[in-house]
Amino acid sequence: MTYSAATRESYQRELAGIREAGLFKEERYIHAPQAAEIAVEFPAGASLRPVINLCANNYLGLSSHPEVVAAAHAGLDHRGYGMSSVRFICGTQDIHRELEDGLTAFLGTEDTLLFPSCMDANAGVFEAVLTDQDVMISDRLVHASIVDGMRLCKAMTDTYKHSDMGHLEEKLQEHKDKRFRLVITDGVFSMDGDIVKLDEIVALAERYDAMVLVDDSHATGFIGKTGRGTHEHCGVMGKIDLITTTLGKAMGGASGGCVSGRRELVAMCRQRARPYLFSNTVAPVIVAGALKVLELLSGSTERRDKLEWNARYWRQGLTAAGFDIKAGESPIVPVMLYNAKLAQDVARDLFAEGIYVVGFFFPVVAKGLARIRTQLSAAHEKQHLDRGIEAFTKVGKKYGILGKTKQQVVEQYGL
Amino acid sequence: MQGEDMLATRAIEVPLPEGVEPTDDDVALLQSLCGAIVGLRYAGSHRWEETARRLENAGWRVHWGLTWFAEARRDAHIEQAIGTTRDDALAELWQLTRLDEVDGCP
Repeated sequence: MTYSAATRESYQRELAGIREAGLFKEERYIHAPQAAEIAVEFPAGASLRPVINLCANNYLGLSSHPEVVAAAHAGLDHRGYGMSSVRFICGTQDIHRELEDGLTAFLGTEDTLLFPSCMDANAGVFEAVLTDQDVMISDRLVHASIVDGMRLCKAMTDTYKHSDMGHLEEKLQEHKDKRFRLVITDGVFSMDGDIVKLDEIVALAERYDAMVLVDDSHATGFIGKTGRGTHEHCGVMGKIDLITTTLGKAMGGASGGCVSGRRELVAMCRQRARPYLFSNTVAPVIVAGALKVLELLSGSTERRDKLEWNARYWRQGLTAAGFDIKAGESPIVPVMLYNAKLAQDVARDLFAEGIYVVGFFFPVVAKGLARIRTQLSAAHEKQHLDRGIEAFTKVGKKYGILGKTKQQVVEQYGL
Repeated sequence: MQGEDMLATRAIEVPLPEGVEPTDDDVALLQSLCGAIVGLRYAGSHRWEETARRLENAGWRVHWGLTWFAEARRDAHIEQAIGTTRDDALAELWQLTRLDEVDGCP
């Protein structure tokens, strides 16, 4: 017997430890398509509770859009279910290339390569374009998939303090002797919702002959006047060497990701990126849906405009109610509670009030910075936001945190 | 058997300049160096020569050498780094821990 009782017990103890530490992740079952209002079974076996969803990455409300669903159905009918092959053997259809060309045009780059996910794109891109003669300099709050991708690459690793351009410049000076320097950042940082200073990064990169990679997963489709992403928002379209992004958030929310950027760098990924070489790509049904998403976004900015309005209204509403929120412009709006237990208690009470949010605390965010991350969607109507603000206010009153400064909350609940 | 080997340990006396007291670092360095010499000269079966030859036959250019090693542990999280100097190894270790400053969120 390979899986002995002792082996089982060892894993059981470890799982118990995760639970005792309050870090056990539990799934909540949604009995409906992804939307602003959903029916949730939680805990498992409980009766369904209708809630307003304020924690999805469904920024543009396209996850269940009828035209996207219809396009996916048509894709299924015309191109089948799966490819049963990696891209370079017999796993590429005409629509894969069509989607890559569409993303290239949308992002304003030179070429694009699809990956099964943006996690895979980030896992593969660094190793494909850098060697041990190069250096990767990343913001310290980049997404976990970038961290994993950097670990898989032989280039030297370095980091700069979050959004600290002075520190980044020091690092660029320090690594002048390297063959290539690649500055790596998220476009919108997922836990704080702040937008990268991409114009300043590009200026530094030009001064120190560095390349720039942006993971725009929390931006593509809605940040910038026409939703192209943070490079549009910061006025540096055409100056970003590599963009990685996802189809799994605003762009229909199914799955899939890509590397988009300089023609030669994308070509290197096509030759060397292991998640591309050794895994099937995005399924035809998702490609068909994503093509429809691109068509919708290229024809109108109505959805990103509505999202922008929703985010502003939500921020104003929570601020007026007396909550301490992270300032910013993105539809990621963290409500700061600082204390981990308080964040969990508030999230639980909000769920009981029909508002679906999740509390985040260490190690997902730094110690003492526990929060509830709220995320807006173009699928939200004003009435959803008003109900959300009302519920937040009710729960905030219960815990006595409205109008309180960080110091006052910490004095009351500790860190 | 190992115990008998240990009994055969020989001592080397190194005169130090007047007034010099070896620090903990000095002692750790001497132990590491002596351990490396013993390991290279007397321990193992010299399989490394065969391994290096096999790698070269497979087209690899092989280089080996002694280096600094640094490790940091926090709960189940382990980071390890090497460097040609202790500064290099610790600097690399620091950067690796900075990568996981927070655990990230989807």
